[in-house]
Amino acid sequence: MLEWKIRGYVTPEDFEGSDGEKIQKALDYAKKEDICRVVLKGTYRAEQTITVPDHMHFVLDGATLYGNLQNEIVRNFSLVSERIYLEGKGGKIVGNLYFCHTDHLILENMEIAGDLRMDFCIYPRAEHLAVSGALTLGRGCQGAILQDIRCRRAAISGEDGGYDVIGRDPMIKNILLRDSEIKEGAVLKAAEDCAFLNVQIDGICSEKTCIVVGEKGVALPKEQYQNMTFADLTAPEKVVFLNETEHTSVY
Amino acid sequence: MREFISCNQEELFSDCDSGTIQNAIEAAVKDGCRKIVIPRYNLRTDKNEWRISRAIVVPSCMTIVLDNCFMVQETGVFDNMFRNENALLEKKTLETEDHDIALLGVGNVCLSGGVHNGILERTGRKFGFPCGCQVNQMLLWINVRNLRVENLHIEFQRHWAINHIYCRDVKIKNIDFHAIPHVPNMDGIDLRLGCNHFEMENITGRTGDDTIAMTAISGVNERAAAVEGKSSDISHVKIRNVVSDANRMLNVRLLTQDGNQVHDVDIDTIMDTSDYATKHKCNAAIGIGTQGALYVKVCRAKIGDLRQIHAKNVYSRGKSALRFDDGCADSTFTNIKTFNTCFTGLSTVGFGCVLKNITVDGFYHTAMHSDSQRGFVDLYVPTTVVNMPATSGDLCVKNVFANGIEYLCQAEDGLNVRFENCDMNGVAKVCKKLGSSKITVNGEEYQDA
Repeated sequence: MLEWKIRGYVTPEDFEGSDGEKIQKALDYAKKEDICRVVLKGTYRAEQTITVPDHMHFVLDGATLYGNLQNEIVRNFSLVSERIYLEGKGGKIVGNLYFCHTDHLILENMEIAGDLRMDFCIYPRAEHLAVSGALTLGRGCQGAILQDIRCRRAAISGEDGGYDVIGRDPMIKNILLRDSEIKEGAVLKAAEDCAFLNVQIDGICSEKTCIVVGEKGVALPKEQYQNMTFADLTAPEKVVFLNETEHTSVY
Repeated sequence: MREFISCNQEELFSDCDSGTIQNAIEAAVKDGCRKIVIPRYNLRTDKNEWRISRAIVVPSCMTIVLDNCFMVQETGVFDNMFRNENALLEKKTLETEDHDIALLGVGNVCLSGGVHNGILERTGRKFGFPCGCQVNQMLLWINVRNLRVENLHIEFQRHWAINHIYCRDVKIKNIDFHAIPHVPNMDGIDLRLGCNHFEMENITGRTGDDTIAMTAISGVNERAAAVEGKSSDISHVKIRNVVSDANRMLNVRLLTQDGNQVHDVDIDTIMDTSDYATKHKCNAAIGIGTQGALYVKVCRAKIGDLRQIHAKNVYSRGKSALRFDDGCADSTFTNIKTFNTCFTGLSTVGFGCVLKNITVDGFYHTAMHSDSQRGFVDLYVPTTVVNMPATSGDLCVKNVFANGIEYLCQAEDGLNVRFENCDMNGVAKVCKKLGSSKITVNGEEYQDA
């Protein structure tokens, strides 16, 4: 509708159905008509996982959404989602967020009562988030900037999740995790076919061991953990190495 | 007073999008709200794009919100996309300084250079443009104070995407670039003469030339832009989180000539994201100084003109991690890591360089010719920590950890290098050529055999 185009966004209230259906219709319509923004105000309960199309600006304007969110995931193929921008504006998602094979994903200013996971995401940026569960960067994540995150635990993991993305390098590289609170600490686990390169974690507060590198009982070549920097860590125990690494600096 | 003026208000429509936006700015000034919104949907044309056929001129105290919009420079046009109102005044003073300008992206915003108009640095003045290719700079800010540019994706810029001359108190944040370099000089962010008190954070993507360039040289445009009462120095710049591919050039460049100074620059984290898939690599993560007499109009830079540069957390696969092309003084570089095809840690182009009180602390060097991800390497380059011929002065490199290094140092022309706490296990030889240089490794002076 022209009115919605001029307004610049659609809302779930523009559609009929349950909360989850309305939100999905709003997203699908916004994508189809190239309006590319959906704004939520109020409280919503979605029973099905909501799929956010690419080139979408999803805004929680003080809203609370009970439900899970993901992008259009087509596993094992090369279809990429681009430019998904989730803006909290004081809003909250009670559920899990999962993004796979997304380029330029941005999450800002929101509370997530659940987990946030990314796999094969290039240039994601997450700032000013409170995550009650786990923040996970999986295989293929590259060029990530994560700052001012408060979460229960964090993981950077090269473990095979049972699928892959054809044509994408599974290496985890060029990762920045800075100025955040990770209550139970961060665990970094490479894999035989997924190395870490250029990972910097600094300015972190933790109540337990801040960073654990490697996995007990699993010995990978040190080249699988290359060029890591850990600095300005505040924790009872700063870094524990369960695997050899190459060119790690701890400040 | 309204909250803002929208560019979709029909009474503001002009014969082109630039005119409409300019009318909105004037209406916002009249209204007093001094804020306009450029939305995604363009009601005038019934399209989701704004085609910019002439520069949008931004006055002081103006906020421009780009709301999920796509703006593209029109084909065959020779003008900026945005510039400040007094940018092209013949005489610039502190009184004519524009101030309090904000260009803020909301959601997914894209500014595109569109189809290139053919104006290059080497051809600009030949086609009758006195400013040369300054017309092709997408955002041009001259003599501005208190400027914010945030949350933009910029692609296919026709020249430098964002250029600042004599600007101060500037915040640039969350800027992403995409430039496949079909023309030269597709820089990301440039700071020219007289820029100070800048903060830049989260600069990402791929530029067609330097991602960030701070160049205190007196070009034609810079001399024309001189502001009475303002120093020509570049100083007090903070840069954080540059995660970029600078396509054969430099992630961050600093240089000066003609007595202009560059000082007090803090760089916190540069990650070179070029990879073998793009088949070439950056020149270096940080390039300091000018090559010989390049850009000289009055006099060559002297030692001390470029000083107090402090960089930490540099990850490079470029031809070298740090490249010193001219004098640099009183500067520190901490936690430098190389990988992949970065065969040289510290290098110089070789036109003559002087170092004074330079310290590199924490140098981790790995580069393997057998690396399967090395991409294209046209010449064999021995792996070296310091390879700086035609360089004199003093350099301290401490806490060095190097794997598979053929030479610790090549310095022959009077550069004294002191290595402290250097792990020699991965080093085949200390030095390739000693000449008049003095090299000390872990407290022992190296003697040529």
